[in-house]
Amino acid sequence: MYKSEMIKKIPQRQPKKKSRSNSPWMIALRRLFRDKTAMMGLYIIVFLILISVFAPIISPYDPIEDFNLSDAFQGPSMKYWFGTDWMGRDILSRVLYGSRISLTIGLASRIVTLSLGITLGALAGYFRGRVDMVIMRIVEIMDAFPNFLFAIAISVAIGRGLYTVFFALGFVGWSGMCRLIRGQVMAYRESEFVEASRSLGASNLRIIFKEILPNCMAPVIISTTMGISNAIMAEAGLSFLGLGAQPPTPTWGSMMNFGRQYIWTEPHMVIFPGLAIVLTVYGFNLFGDGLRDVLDPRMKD
Amino acid sequence: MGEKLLEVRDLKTYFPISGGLLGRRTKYVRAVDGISFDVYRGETLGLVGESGCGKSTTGRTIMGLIPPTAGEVIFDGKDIFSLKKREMLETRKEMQMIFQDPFSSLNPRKMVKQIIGGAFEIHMPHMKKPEREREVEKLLEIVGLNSDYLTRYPHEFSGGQRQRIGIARALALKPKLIIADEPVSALDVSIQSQVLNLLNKLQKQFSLTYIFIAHDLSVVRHLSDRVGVMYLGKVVELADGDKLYRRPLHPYTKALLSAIPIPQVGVKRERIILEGDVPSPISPPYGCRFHTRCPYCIDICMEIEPNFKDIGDKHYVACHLVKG
Ligand SMILES: Nc1ncnc2c1ncn2[C@@H]1O[C@H](COP(=O)(O)OP(=O)(O)O)[C@@H](O)[C@H]1O
Ligand SMILES: [Mg+2]
Repeated sequence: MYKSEMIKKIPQRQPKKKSRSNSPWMIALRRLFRDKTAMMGLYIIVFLILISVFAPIISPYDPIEDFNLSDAFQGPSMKYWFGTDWMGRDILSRVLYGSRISLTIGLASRIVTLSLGITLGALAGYFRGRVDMVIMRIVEIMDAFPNFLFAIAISVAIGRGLYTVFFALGFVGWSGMCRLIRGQVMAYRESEFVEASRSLGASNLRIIFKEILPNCMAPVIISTTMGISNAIMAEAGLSFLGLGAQPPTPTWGSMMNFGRQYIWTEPHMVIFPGLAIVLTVYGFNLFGDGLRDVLDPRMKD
Repeated sequence: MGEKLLEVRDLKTYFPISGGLLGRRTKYVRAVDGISFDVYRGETLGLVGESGCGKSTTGRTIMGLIPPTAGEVIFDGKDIFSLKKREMLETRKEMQMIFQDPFSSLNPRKMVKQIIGGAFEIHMPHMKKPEREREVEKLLEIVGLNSDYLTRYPHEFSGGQRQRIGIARALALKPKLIIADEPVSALDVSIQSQVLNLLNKLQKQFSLTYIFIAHDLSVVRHLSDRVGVMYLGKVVELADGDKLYRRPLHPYTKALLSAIPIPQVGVKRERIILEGDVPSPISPPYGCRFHTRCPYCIDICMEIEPNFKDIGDKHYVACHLVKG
């Protein structure tokens, strides 16, 4: 309450310029930039993206090629800031490169989730009846399995590797997205602006894509942001179980997996990749929370 | 009176609701339960009744937005429920609707030019963007809005302005019939008459035919040539506006009229206050649907449903007490 009142007052003080875009998205974006939580999250995410893009430039060593058995199991030092692993590889470099895998998995798995979830959710919510029944039965079956176990099952079934992880983590998330979209589409399909569009002779496709889905984007964006952090965590979990990307690919999960056996003597092997995961998940969750604050109290103004 | 533009014959629209624990026996909301009326070219037919009596459902069924349960609607000589998809698309152009809620009737994510121009995108896909925008500008001017509003979003407008945008959208395809579903009931009283005047002006300008839906008789009074009164899914009385206001025959019409202030001095009117609530449209009363609330109810009313009969001069009424 208090917060929204404050926000409302701000635009009145500014002179109304013609160039200010009035689109609901631009209004939300301006509000987002004023939201401290969201911006903190965004800074962390941008920081991670920069690291993954410039990993080859900023890493002191190559994460795979530069191994030196005589330097194995070293704690943090000036030479190796985060220490080295059992093969004498620089953990800092591996953590920096690991961001590439984590971010890629976070995003790529969302492509699977979004395309399946939006398509099936829109079909179920819009056409209802038998289509809805079939899709929702599948969703219920999906939801009956714990997500992580399901991802493990898929990984075991189609074999290890990076692409398996993209697919497995995307696939376990679609049912939630499907429910979300279905509910939204069902609510909007009864709205008067949809009836108006139908009166004009709009096709079902046009109504779904041009009238309904643009109105469902706020919760989709929020849930996708949160989904990225879940996927990153799940990837770490899969790698930790040895089901993710295979060695010597540097991923945070597999670094923790291999560091696990030395945790009492060489805790740095687990701590640094662990911190990287925490920071990433924290960043996306902060951003997601901020987005929720900005987008959820429906976009009137 | 001119020729008929629209004929509604025994139209019924039921909404299934699953009832009972076993969910097998389906019940129905009988929103529209056998109504008939004609609409003549160039006239305004007012449709009045309490909230929930089936006015919107009537309008939406005629528009083809919800499937009818029974009956037929003949528009401009065509039985619209038997039209093929293509033919329906063409006929759609000639019938449009203005909605009640100026907030939910405009897509909040679209600019004015997209909301109004959508009609052209659908029916004239080859029309170029600048041409489309020029058409939208023209429409904005027609409904009394600034043509600079092209790139504005709905949230930037007041209720009255939004309703004008909705009217412009309905006009885009140059329809013959416009069904206005309580177009002013959500607006401030001060704005209502402006919008009503606009509708009046447009009717003359484009020789439109209106079905004007309202929940009380005072709004339709100045606008309608003829008025139909609905109660619980039925039309109970239909007559020329003047006649209906001066000499209402159905007790329900009398009750509705006695609720609005008398405009002329010296005209006396019985004061009828309705008791009880409107019964459920899921199981409407047997016999005359109004008998549970009618102050003049006699035995026959509880048993036999009165016919909707012409008592002369195209004054239709469904009441056992009125002799034709
Ligand atoms: N989609 C629907 N599903 C079930 N019942 C409905 C639906 N639409 C309307 N009804 C019911 O039909 C009846 C008539 O509604 P409506 O036509 O909206 O009345 P009015 O416009 O006169 O207020 C009401 O009892 C309403 O609850
Ligand atoms: Mg209504």
